[in-house]
Amino acid sequence: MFEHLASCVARISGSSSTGTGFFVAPGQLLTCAHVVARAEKRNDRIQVEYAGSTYEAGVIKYLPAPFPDLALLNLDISDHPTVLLDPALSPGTSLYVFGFTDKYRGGEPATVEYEGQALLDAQSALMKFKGGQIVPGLSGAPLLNLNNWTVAGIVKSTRDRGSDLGGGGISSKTIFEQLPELVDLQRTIHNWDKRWINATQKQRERSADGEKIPVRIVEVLQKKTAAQSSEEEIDPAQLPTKTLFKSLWCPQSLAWFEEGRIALGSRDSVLRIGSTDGRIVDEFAVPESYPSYIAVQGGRWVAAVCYTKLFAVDLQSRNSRSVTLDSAASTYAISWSPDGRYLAACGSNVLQVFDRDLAVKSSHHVGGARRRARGCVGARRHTLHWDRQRPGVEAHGTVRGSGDRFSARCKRERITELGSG
Amino acid sequence: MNALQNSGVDDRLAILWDDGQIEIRRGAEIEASITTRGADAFHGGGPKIAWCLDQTVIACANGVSASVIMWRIGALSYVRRRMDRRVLSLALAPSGSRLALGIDEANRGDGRVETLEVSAIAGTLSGQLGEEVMPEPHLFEADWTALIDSVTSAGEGTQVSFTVALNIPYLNDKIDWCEQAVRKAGADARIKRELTRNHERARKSALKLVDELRWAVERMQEAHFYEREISTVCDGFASVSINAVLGRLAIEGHPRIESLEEFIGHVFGYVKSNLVYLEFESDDGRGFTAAVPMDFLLEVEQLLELGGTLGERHGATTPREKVYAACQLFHDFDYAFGYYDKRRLWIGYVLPQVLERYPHDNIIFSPSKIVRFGLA
Repeated sequence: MFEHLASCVARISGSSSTGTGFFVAPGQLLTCAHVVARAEKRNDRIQVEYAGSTYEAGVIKYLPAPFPDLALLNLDISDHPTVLLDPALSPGTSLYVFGFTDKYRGGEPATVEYEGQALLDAQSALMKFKGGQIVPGLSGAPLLNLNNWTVAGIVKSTRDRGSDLGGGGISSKTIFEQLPELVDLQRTIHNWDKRWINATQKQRERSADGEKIPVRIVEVLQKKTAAQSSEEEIDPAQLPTKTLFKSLWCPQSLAWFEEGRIALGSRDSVLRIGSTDGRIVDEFAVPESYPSYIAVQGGRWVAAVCYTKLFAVDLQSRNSRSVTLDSAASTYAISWSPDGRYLAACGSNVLQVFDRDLAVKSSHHVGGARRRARGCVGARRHTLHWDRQRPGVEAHGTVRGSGDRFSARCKRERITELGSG
Repeated sequence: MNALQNSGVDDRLAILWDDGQIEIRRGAEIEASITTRGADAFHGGGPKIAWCLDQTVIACANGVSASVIMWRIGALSYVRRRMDRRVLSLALAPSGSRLALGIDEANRGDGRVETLEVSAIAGTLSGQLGEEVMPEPHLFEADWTALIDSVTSAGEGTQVSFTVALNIPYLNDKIDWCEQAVRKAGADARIKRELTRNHERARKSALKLVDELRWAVERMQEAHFYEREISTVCDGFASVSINAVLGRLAIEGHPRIESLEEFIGHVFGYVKSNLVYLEFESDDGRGFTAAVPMDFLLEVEQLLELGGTLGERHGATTPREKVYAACQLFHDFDYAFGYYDKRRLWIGYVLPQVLERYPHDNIIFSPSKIVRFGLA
């Protein structure tokens, strides 16, 4: 972490004044205004030494001393790490400083303890810290919070150059108030540049005597997968196919209702009746959307689910009608009663029975309470079964778990009789 | 669940589950079942199960693959008839022996309906098919939410308030067992030291896995993977990695990763001959190889079509030959695999392997950056 902080820090010089700065965004160095004050006044060049190279810097923002004493410099460099500023700070927190002093041009550390805020006036608060020697050159150095491994502020002044009396600084809270553009900038940068966060994480993991970070254990278990049964691939020549109908749009539904006739629904929203010699003998435009499920009774009555509509047609008279289903958008099965008098449609929560004219004869909410109790959101598949002994229809189906993490095997146990009418 | 159909003559239900299992149920009781290759997507639409040949054979399609499966109820094996495109729906003729198949379109409006005579293979279905069981996969899985959350919160610039560690009981047990075996063995001290070092390396590899996973999750988030995709890659990578450690420990029945095809077959449950060794290359010259199951490639329609066209003069007639022809002769990755096939290939097979075998700089997370591929 300390090495990482050092890689975010640069030495600033200009007009015989030196100090430290640190990167808060790509190509943007934060320092104290008094570090560059003389150069700014004389319009001199400001030089930044970073990673063995020297760059010329310009001033983006200059907020002079005594308060807030901040300067934001820009320089033509972007491939560098950036500190994470965090206003969270409480008295008694240990802070680590790293900057470039006159004696140690390659960098010198110091540790101090945060005492609290010192108010210049009602609006101007400075950080006060003790217990470390703040020497010339450390102005503009970052104050690393050793509790949460973020930068809590910037060094501004010393109480005494020759002893470890500590000094003063500008907090990250003040920095954000004075340079509000840094709030979003910091969030954006650390979203894609995770070097600081990763260094923090490693430091936390490494600090044996530091705070105990909760560890979440991820159990990696053997996946219970059955070996597949053996499969034999059929030679296409052994089981040839014969093309019956061509030029279709996604043939989504089929019903082969007589040896010589097939009903098919495709995405162009047409219900077709074709013969097995490849001719289309009849066509019906269906309402709303394509027929996703077709049921035929007695070679004469054809019904189809078309999104939220139920469509039915009498092939003899070519009379057709449609009705909006209660279950809307989630109807998965339709079935004619064996005597052809009724048509049942089952969706995620409703089982409806219609007569041939699509008048509703009965409507049942199926399994809703039970499904809600099990935390499920809707049925995905149904099949309908007409009871020949007792008049009525039963819907069988499964419900889908509310979360994607349910395994197929859990869902498998959820087969249930949803209702009867 | 992918499809459900009652028999129409009794109270039995046939069910096709997403993971490929076909079951015959009477109420809650499972009368018969068989495991086939699963689908990784759901397709709605019309009926996909038919009770054929006097309710003795189940024919089914899952709506996302280009094949129909036929299974004589109760048999230990099944047959697959491959088509050139996805089978969207199927319907049985009243006679119970002919099937109509709704075949998806490749270009707008060229979908079709085809029929096939199931009775033509009645002999095959009732005869003794090879009843040997395919190799068992050796996969591992976990709930990766904590890991993904830790990376997400770090990515949002918020402080990570917890750290993540892995517990792999199976691997720990195996290493413990090896260590005990070495302690008990009367081998030379030098050999014992060498073996002990090997065990330490195995433990270190297991510890390092969480960092590797974290790195991979970060990269996948940057590449805008869905959370479910990230979990799938983590499962696959952890499976490959754990099996690699077991292989290095020279535990019987665990091949070493150096014999790649045998190793990948062991992890994912394929025989070696059912794997194709492919090479992928990006525009910036980075590349890697991965073993991919032939079963997966056989489901890639564009590859089959290309193989059919390119392999014609080389006599490629079967789907396998077509896939090999396409992989050998056609190198444009973008054209050979559709968007979803690319993602399935990457998430299911390529990333789990390359994360284990290649340095970070070589790994390409987004399949859209791959431009060339071919037989390795």
